[in-house]
Amino acid sequence: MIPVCQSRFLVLAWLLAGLTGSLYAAEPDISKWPCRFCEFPSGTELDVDAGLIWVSDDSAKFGTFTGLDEEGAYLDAHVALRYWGEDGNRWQLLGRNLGLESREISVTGGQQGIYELNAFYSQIPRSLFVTTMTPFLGVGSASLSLPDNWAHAGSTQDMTALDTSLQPLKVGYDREILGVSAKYLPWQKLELTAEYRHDEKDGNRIDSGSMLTVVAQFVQPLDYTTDRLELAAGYFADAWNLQLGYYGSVFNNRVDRLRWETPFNPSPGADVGQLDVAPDNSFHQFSLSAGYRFARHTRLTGRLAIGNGKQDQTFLPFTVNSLLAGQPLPQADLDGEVDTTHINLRLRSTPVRRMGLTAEYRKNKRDNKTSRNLYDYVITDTLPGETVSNRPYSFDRDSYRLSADYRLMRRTRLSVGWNRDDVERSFQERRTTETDKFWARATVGFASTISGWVEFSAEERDGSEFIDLAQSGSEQNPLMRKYHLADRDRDVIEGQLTVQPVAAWDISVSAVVAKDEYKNTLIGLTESDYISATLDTSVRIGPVSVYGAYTREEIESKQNGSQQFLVPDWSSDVKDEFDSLVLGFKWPEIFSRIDLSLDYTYVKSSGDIDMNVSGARSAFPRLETRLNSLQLFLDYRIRGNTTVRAGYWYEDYDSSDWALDGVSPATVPHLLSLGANACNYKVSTVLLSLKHAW
Amino acid sequence: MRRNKFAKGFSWPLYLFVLGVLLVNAPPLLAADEDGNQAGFSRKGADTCISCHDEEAILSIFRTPHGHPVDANAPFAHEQCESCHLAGGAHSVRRVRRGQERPPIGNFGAQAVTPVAGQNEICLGCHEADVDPAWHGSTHDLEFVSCAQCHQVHAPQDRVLLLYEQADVCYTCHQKQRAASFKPSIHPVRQGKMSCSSCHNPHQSATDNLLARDTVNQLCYDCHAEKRGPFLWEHAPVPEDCTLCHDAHGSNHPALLTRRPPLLCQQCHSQAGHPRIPFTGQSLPGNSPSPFVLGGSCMNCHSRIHGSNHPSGVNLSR
Repeated sequence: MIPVCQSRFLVLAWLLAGLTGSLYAAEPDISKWPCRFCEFPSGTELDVDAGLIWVSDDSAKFGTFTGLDEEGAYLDAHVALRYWGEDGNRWQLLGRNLGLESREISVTGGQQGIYELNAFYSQIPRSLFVTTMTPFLGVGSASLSLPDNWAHAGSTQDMTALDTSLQPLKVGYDREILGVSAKYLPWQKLELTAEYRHDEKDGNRIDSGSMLTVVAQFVQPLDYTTDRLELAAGYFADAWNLQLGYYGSVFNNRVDRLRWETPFNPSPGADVGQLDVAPDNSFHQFSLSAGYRFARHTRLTGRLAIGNGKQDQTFLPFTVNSLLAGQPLPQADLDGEVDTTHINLRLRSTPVRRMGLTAEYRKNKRDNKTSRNLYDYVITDTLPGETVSNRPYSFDRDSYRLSADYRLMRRTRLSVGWNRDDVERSFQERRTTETDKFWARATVGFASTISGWVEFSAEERDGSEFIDLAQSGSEQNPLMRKYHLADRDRDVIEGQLTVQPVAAWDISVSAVVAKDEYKNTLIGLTESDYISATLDTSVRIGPVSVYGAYTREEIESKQNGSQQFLVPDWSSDVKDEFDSLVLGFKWPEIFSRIDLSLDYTYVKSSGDIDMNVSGARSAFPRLETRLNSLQLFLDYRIRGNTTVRAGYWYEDYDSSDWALDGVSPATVPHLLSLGANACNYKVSTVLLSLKHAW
Repeated sequence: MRRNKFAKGFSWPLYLFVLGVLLVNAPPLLAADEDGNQAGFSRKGADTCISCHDEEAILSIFRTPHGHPVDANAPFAHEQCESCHLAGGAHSVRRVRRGQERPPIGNFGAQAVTPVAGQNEICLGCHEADVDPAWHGSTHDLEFVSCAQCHQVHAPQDRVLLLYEQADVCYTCHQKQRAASFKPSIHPVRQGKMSCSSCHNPHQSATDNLLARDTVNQLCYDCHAEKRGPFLWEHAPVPEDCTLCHDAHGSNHPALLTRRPPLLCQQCHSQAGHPRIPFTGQSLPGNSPSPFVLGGSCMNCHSRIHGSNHPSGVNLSR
């Protein structure tokens, strides 16, 4: 029985707690908050920025993604149109680079809290080469022929009609994307979304076709469309949520083959070759995502996604060589089918205030259900091959993650974890691999001026015995260990430190050091090292912000081969280096009218390959690129809503690439190339525009 | 000594308890008393706040979805500024003693007084459905990344939601990726035609690299569906992991390749015949130019490197 005094105590305590608690939790009477100073916008606003861009020179690389690939003047405009309705309607139209081939425009709006609509259109120009040349006629079509006077020969140097037949050719393509999406909230916790996206890729890319030991480069027309639809319905309660989703993607290639007339002396019947192109395909996936909060600090989330991919493009014949044609195909099309399964289960709990525990399971399975058949293939439309069977590739990856973290101080946390990946693959030299990774991480933050993190991980991969998979005629050196299957030890240490010596100055240093060792590999990749370091700083001096960043990266690798098809008798040391320096400042409100900004970028990359063949060392010429880029912009406000912008952008890009340099169409006896060169350009761009707001 | 009637029958722990309860609840009660504030809130809501904080950078909240009074879900349909900054009664006390600091109010950002977890709880109070439910315990959560470090709630246009400005926000921390954006072979992130969130979902934790799709290949196929297949002749690791040969953030080599062919190919192929041959500078123009090295290297002949559907494409050359 509770003593009287104690019962009074409890009642009073409850009353006090209830009274003060309810007072504290009570919502204010916002009808007494008129918000007189709140400047809620209404009506329409329009910003237009229109002007002229002048480009000094042609350049494929400068023009790629920007649309400024040709010398001359371009009209350009940016637009922003905003509308605020009284009833919560809100719409925004944004247009950018409307005069260029990199234009994009979007419209977003709706009634806030009820529905939202979005539509966008974007163009991405990809200019690859502008100085290439080809003797082929019918560029842009699926059938390439040679001029009537073409003189076939055994090597390019003997193609006497080549020089007079070469025509200039631009290589590149445009991607156009049209998207619409909608979100609807019938009531607060239910959200319905739909998104549709249509991609078109139109243009050409470098392609090539071989006839036994000779090969010709040409361009393949690209006329791709991809349609993607995503639907989702989600219910989000306080303690749980559930989402159902659909993802569908359909790819269509309006080109179904590519024929070319061989410029070399043809083998009997092999004056024309035929290549396959990317087949139409589709993929559909249904997903169920859910989350449940057992208690305030324990959450279970999961996702199950079941997908199905199909490809049933009608097969081309084995060959277009009439002397070898006639072999029946085992079926009219592949009737290819792949089932995918993705699972993610994740339990996150903070059993005590500072400690968190996470357990996770993931599955990534590709079950290739395509049937196996025998194919009496023809070697490059020239010779009968052997009978081989296709190998529908499947894999099944199970991943496990366990981690624990402990928050020592407000912004300091220690974390440790173990990752495990078990992969089973079909038709591979190694059926299973197992990878274990242990990691530890410390995230620190002292006051508000020092923060950073450091992480160390050690990973080990091994697996089942290697087996010989070779089909007839393609025997692999039994000592080869492919790098995605081989035993591997990987150690990585990385971190970042950010310091703020004074309020207006930030310095940040970050670095990564990684080492891969393929300890049981004799042929193949044997080791790889990666180092990257960055120094980044920004300082504010009065109204001026100045910033700079320098990054250096080195990637080294060693690999062995065997030309005797026995033990290693050659090796290579490859070293890629990369340096980038960015400097700039922004100076706003000079004389209350002028904004000035400058960005300078210097980038250098290099690649060195040293070969050691039976003790004789030799090196490839250095692969190199250098970029100097300077951008200067000045905005001058004529009036409060009118601004003139002047800009200057200079880029100087030099590159050396032994795979392209000096390779004209006739340089390589058995390769008729397009004569693509490594990119080099110096381009100056001047911008003058007027911006006005209504 | 006379004992107070009220105290009669009560013991000293009760006094302590009552005092404790009052103290715990004191700030809102006191604030309400001193300035007529309601339940710890300011006297006139946003009008109180704006009477001091009238900078354009703050008033621009009214041009954002948060500053909309008609939307029943928006902060300004509720406690206005104090929906997010929490009750500001104490903070908005008119007079503070000389030398005394004004009591803080809930604020946001990496260097805010409010702990990151507390900041994010405020945002998640409304946006739990917008971010992935798996945010809790995700990489960014554990790294003390606050919502306001990436999102500019008061700006008319949140930079991180703009395709062509988002990357600059991400690069604040992800400096290696910013440097990679300057490499010779890249995706068009620097040119503003893609953003980091085209491939990554920064709010979730279901994949190792916060991918926006279930796997890296499904992500790549979003834009490169021509490589999806299934093909009659598959190049085995291709359907499993594009990153075995490509570095999506940028590379010194064409087509985002991690290494230069033919050595890239020879890391897996040492078959009898030409794959086992060591190619050197002797294969370049001026010596014995070789189609195994120049132009497209191995891809000159094996041009269907991602897979072939041609019945004779077993070597990926048709």
